[in-house]
Amino acid sequence: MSSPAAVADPAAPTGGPAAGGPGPARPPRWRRALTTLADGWLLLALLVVWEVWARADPSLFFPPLTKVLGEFGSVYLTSDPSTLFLSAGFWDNAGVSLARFLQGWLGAIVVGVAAGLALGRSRVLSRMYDPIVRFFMSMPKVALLPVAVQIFGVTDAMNVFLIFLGTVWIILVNTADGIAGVDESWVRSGRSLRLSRFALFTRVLLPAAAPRILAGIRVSVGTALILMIVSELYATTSGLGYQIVYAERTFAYLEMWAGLVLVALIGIALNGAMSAVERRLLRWERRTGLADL
Amino acid sequence: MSTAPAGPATTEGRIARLGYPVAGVASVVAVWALASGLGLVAPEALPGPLAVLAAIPQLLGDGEFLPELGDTLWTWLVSLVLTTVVAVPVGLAVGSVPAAQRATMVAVNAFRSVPSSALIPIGILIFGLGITMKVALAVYAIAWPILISTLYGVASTEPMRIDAGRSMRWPWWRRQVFVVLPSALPQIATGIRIAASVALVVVVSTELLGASTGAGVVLVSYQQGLRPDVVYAGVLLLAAMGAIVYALLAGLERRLFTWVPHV
Repeated sequence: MSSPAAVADPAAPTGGPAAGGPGPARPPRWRRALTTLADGWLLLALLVVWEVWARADPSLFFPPLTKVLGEFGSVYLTSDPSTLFLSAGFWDNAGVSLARFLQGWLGAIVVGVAAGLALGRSRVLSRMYDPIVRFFMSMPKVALLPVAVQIFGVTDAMNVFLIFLGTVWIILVNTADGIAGVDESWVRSGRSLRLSRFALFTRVLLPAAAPRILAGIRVSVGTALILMIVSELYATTSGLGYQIVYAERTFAYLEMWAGLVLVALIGIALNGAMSAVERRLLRWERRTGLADL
Repeated sequence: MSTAPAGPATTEGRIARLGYPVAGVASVVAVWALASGLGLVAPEALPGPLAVLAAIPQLLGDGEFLPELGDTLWTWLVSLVLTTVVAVPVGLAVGSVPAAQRATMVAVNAFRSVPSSALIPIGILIFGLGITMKVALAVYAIAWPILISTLYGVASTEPMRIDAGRSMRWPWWRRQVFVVLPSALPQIATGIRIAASVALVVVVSTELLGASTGAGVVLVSYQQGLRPDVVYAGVLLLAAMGAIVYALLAGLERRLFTWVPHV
């Protein structure tokens, strides 16, 4: 488990070897980056299997990876450094999609963490709204897509609404759990130090609950991406999902696969960024083995 | 959610246990009723609670929804079982080879970062509009969480126990089945519970986007028939179904894994 005592007072001599910083056995950063790179052999092998398979059994629907990457390069990349080597096709579609993603997801974080704080601190509220939260947790939010289209029409608000509704609950539940699990004696110590309500939240409760909150936020990234794409496949006139479905309808299958590669890369980049943020914010937490990856 | 310890078995405790949730649900329904009653939201956007409630029997009675709901449930079950049967042994095998473990994590992290919904058009092209496509996409979506939780579970096995197995000269498979698997099961179960909700989302998504059968297909047709009350009723029923399955899984977990301390 984490040693959250280090949150309240990082200078205190704690027993945990990892509380103060990286342990002695930790190799330097470049070395770790190299190991991670070497650990990519399986991924590479699987991609080679894709290539060989598609070449051995040619199908219009399942092109080899190299052709897909070539198409990807010609559609989404340019040689113009002023646009970060990314073409207008990239910025138009990815920009629209990411704007929807960010609006819905950031809104869900704000609302989810705020509501989670309230439910985590108040036993009455958590008892009252537990059934509602459970209900929305188990609801396949995507089923609301037809209704969302009717409410908002084919606008950005429809996508944002769906992403928000699909991610807010998991963040809320994790925040509430994390807050409710904070050791009551820390809250009492904070009170005895006459911390203001606000300081109590920002200095004691939020840091102590941060691992759970961030775990919820991390899960929500994947869900938000799924919902972003579904809502764009279902009804829009722009965005990454639209790009894929448009290519499919115009029988441009290579372009469709190129769109998938783009979505995959964006997903990998967002998830990678999220883990980096998580690791940075939770550096005080001891991590070993697979969790270190 | 944190469930407060059950109160003493007095009338007061019972009122507190039942009263709070009832009050909470009532407050939400009241806000909903007010919003639609006062015309804050258009009736075609959000019909009132009574209208939605009245649409439930209609939906159940139309002779089409229940079989389609069964179809959705069946697809869901098939993909969950199929993935579990494949991913858990793979995770156990890979988890016992340290060299393969990290490489698998890198590959799995890459594949699970691909939003599975982006594969729906491709799945439709390759597998058509039937159940094969739905299962294939759901399996892709949930294989990774189940595999990851299996790997984490394997990694969290007490090394001393494996050594104990070794000192008894248990063969590799026996250590995996009788030492590693029981230690990893709670983590695996958590992974399966997460996978269950993801699979339902993916299955319903494929139904909205063209699959030929399933509850989502019925919802789309009611949507096109401009009956939002029925659509909401359908969403309520889907959520109820999800909640029931979730509760069943959690109950099964508690019953099966009696050696795991519950908090």
